[in-house]
Amino acid sequence: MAKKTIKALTQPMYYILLSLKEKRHGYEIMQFVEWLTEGRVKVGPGTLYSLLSRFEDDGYIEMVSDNDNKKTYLITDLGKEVLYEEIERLKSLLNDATSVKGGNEGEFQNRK
Amino acid sequence: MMQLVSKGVMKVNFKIESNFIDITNYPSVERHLEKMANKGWLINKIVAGNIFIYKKIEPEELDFSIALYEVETAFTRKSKEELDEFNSVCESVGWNYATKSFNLHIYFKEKGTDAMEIQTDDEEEFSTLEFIGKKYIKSNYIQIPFMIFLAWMNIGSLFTSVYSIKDGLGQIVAPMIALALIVLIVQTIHIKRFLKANKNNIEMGKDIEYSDSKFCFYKVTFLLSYIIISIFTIYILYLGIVLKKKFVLIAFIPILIGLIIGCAYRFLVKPSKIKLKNKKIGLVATLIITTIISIFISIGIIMYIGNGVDDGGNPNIDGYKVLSIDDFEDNVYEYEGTLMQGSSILVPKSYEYYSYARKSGSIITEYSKALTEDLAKNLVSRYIRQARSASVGRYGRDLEFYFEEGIYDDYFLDAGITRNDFNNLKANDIKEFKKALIKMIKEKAIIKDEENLWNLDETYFLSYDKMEIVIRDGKEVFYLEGKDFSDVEIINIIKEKLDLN
Repeated sequence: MAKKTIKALTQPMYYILLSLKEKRHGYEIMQFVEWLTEGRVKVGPGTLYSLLSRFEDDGYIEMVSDNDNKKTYLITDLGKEVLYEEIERLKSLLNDATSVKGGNEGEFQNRK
Repeated sequence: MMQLVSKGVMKVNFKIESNFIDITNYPSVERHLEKMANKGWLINKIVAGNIFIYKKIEPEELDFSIALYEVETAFTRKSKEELDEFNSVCESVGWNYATKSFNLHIYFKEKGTDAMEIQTDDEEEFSTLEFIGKKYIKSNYIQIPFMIFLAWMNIGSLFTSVYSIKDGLGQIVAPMIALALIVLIVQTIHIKRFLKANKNNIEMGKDIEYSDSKFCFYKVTFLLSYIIISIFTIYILYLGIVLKKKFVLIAFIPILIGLIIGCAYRFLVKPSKIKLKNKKIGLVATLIITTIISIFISIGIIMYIGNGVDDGGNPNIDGYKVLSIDDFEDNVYEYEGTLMQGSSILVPKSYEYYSYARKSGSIITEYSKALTEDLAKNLVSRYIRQARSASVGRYGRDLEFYFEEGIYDDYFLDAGITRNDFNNLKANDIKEFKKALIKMIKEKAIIKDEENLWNLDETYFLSYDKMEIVIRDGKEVFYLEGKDFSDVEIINIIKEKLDLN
């Protein structure tokens, strides 16, 4: 499946894809995100299931099992590609911030 | 707010309310449901987004949360298991499921108890809203031209044709089409505005702005629609059972087949795990098969009616104001008689009788009793308009050929155009010739009973040979065809037979 162009992943998109590096069902994803972010990020069921449907349609995740009314999902190669691109983007944002915070903006004044 | 409260003998335990919920106003519905719970009514079911059914509870302080979870697209539908999973996850974070309306799922919890928000991200919520909203708009873009076409077909003829004033179905369906068209247009504008405004809000990092409107327009239109649908159903049953127009009921078979196949596709195919591509192929194949079956059934019905099977031979015409061949001739065997009854709002009673005998020919009677005398006058004018068009259609063809060839055909005599008339008009150019000849054909065909041969409220001969006539006596209108209606002897027989003295 061809990759759709996404400007940037939103916070819940990012954490859901991140949590699906391991097989997880809906409720586990919510708990994992809360645990990983120490309660800073919460993904409600409405937000979660809308995104799971969309990610499945876009081929970023796949359902690996469906037992006892619990669908378990796993990230696909395409999903990993999208996630890693986002991680790189976040890294460059962080690098930029670190650079400015470290006082490197003086180089901007001396660029000529 | 309109309310219909059940009146149980012992105890009122449910309440029905006319309200409205869609993707643009659900937070205001949450607040309304909280107030209702406070009064002891818990939402139990929502029908078609506008009929709210509550069940009686002890008054409680409840919080409501309405969550978006897309249930259905053109090719997919969430299965019961998927919906159960969603509900169980919502329950595990503290919310109890109440009901749903399309893609909106309603949950509640006791006020003050801890529960995770069901929607935790405005951007994602708007993204889902936008997806669902655009789907509605797309669907409306398909329906609006279709409704305009139906309106043009139905409403246009409603004010002009003889058939429409007597056709109850058309009179019931026309306001329904007009209402549906208005609702579709209003809904499209409303959703487009909502999405546009909130796209800006989201881009600017602001909250989604929902509508606080009371949606009185939707509530009234939905209520009117239900009334019209009820009248429509009663009318169909009346036609089929009381007036014995069985073909009206049979004509609903294609609709029934469509409904059954549509439901089977919706509830069996859509939620299944069949690949999307195969579902699309399946839908197209189903549509083709349904159309073919419907066409075959429709042709069957037309043949069935055409063969006159519906009337089961010569009908009993006692009590009907109609003419038959044997009213004018002795010892004649009426070979065939066909009686068709009708009823509409404007013309509550109408019937047509076709009487035919070998060698003697046929006589047609169309009887109508209008609701008011003005409507009866209107019906007469419609017959006149119909006769004018028919005479132009009958004699106005091939005029260019006759003009260019300079040929006078004897069949012009039937329309009252003599060779002299023809030759006089031939001096003009072709446009003038056609215009003048058509005018003359119309003038000679439609003649008022100036001699007062019939001595009724209104009498018009509708053909030059006076073999067609429309007469009005108060609210009663008769269209007759098949005899020389200027013959005094015939007039006397008819007046006696039709009780017009």
